[in-house]
Amino acid sequence: MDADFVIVGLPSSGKTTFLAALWHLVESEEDEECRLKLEAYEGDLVYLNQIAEAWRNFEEVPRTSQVGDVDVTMRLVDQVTGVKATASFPDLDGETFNAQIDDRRCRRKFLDDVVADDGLLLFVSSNVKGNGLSVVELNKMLPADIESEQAQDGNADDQLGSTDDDEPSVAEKTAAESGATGYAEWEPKLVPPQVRIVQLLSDLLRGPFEPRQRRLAVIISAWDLTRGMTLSPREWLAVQMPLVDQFLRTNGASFVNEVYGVSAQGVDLNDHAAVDQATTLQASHRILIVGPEGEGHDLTAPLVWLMARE
Amino acid sequence: MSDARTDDEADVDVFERPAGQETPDIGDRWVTLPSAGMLSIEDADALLRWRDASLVAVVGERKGGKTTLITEMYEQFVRGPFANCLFSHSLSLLGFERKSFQSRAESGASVPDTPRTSKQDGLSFFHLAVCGEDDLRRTDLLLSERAGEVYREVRDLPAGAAALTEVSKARTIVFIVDGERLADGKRRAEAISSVRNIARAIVESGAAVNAAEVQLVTTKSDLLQGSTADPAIEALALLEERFLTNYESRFASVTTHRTAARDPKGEMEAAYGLASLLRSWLAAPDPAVVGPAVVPNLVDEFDRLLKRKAA
Repeated sequence: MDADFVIVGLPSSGKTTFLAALWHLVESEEDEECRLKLEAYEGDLVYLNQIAEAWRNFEEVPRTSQVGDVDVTMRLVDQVTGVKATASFPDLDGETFNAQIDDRRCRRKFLDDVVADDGLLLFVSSNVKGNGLSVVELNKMLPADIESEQAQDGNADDQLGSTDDDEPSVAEKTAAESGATGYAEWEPKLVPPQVRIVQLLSDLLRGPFEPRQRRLAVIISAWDLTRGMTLSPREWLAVQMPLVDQFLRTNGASFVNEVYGVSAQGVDLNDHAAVDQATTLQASHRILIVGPEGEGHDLTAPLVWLMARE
Repeated sequence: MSDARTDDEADVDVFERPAGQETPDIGDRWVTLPSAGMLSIEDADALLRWRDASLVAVVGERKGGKTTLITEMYEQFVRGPFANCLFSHSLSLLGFERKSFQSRAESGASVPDTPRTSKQDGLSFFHLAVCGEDDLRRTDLLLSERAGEVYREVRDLPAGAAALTEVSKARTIVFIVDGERLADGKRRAEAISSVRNIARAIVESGAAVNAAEVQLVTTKSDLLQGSTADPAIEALALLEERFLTNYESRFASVTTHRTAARDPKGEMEAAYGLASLLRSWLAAPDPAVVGPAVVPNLVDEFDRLLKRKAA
């Protein structure tokens, strides 16, 4: 059988690192637990070997934006069922997904891939920032002395830019009293990551995409950064990206979904002590994946789940 | 599989674009996607052809807090489930984002605000689909967005109310009472007069359907706290009482609500009063199913044939 997977993710969401670690895992056959094995070593392997080499050497895996869009194909076999599959992963630059939000356009190739997909891999970085903190919430978090410092700065009368010629609003008056600084202009690039992800998924529910039921594996990358939280990947999503969580819970007819936490790099490359320690491990054991069936090193688990037909 | 639904094989929720609105290509490599900003009247019509949606007309003069009322509901969903509901979908997600931005820390502002809605923008809509937390039953809302100047003009030329499309199609009509003006003794009488005049113009024009729910919604209630606000509270209570008395026999439901969508000082609970308001919009009566259907008089042979077939 053929299994065409589509990879979706914003820039720096761990897409390429996942592919690098996956290629090492299936090609090396180091890990007995790994359910999918490489069935044939053939085809153009330049890109896969390039990113896997960087991964093995504890170097930053080259971003797709640096090497251009690449179609990756792996011929895999399921050790349990014996089913053989040719798995294709178009590795698109994350900026193309930003363009989907910012410019409301998508790559024709992505559109074609989604039409034929057998499952979506959605990458979400656990290192999220700026998920819509409000001004009021921020002000509450600031110590009183900083708030008063803010009040002494700036000249709101010049900067608020009100065009009204009658009574100012409460916001304007309070801003004037506090000496508030002016506003940044809204632009699409300021849309928070969780809203961007909901928009990317929402786009698949209407033309020009073909709306139908899809299987969706959500991969929360850099999972090692969340270890102190003691949350399951789905719980993490509910806490850190509540809009995505709600969207997935209410759109089960369109997206049959599962959530995984993945640490494909396995270590912070800037932490030299941690890297030294990681060198003592078998390379495959740097990988950590947490899913509905627990914790392990088998990065093929989401692919097995995507390929399952219920 | 941890998907919450058990009917995965049920209808896939899709938004099929009407014929003639196919997406144009940009060269060979890129394809244009539909807007995710505010919905135009045509967009709203297309949505209504796709699925049932309850239209809420939010009516009031400028700076009354109409847009803030709606965007703060969205902001609550950005933080998690709200009003026993889960966010499900929005065709105007980027519209919500644009209108919410000045309330976000990211904007660099130290006091939250909402961008003014221009008269030139005409009538547009937010789309918000939510599901009940318990049963995942989905309800779609179309929330009107129009500059307050237009409603001010209706005060002066009441005949213009008949042309307010959002009002004639609404299942819920929200008349905004600006709590800020109410709190100010010098502007209080005019604030009350404003909502009284606009409501009167709309009701007497016949633009609103009798099956609708009409609501008197006071915004910025955070400014109506403390003993100094007693005269404003008394005036508001009287206005609410008269609103109920005047309209209870003319509409399916008449209610009053007090809200503080976003207290800039953060002293009042966030989104005060919005949860119950949203739930009331979700429960609005469907005019299409209110009252018995009118059966036309069947007079000719074809009518009788139809009647015999139905029997």
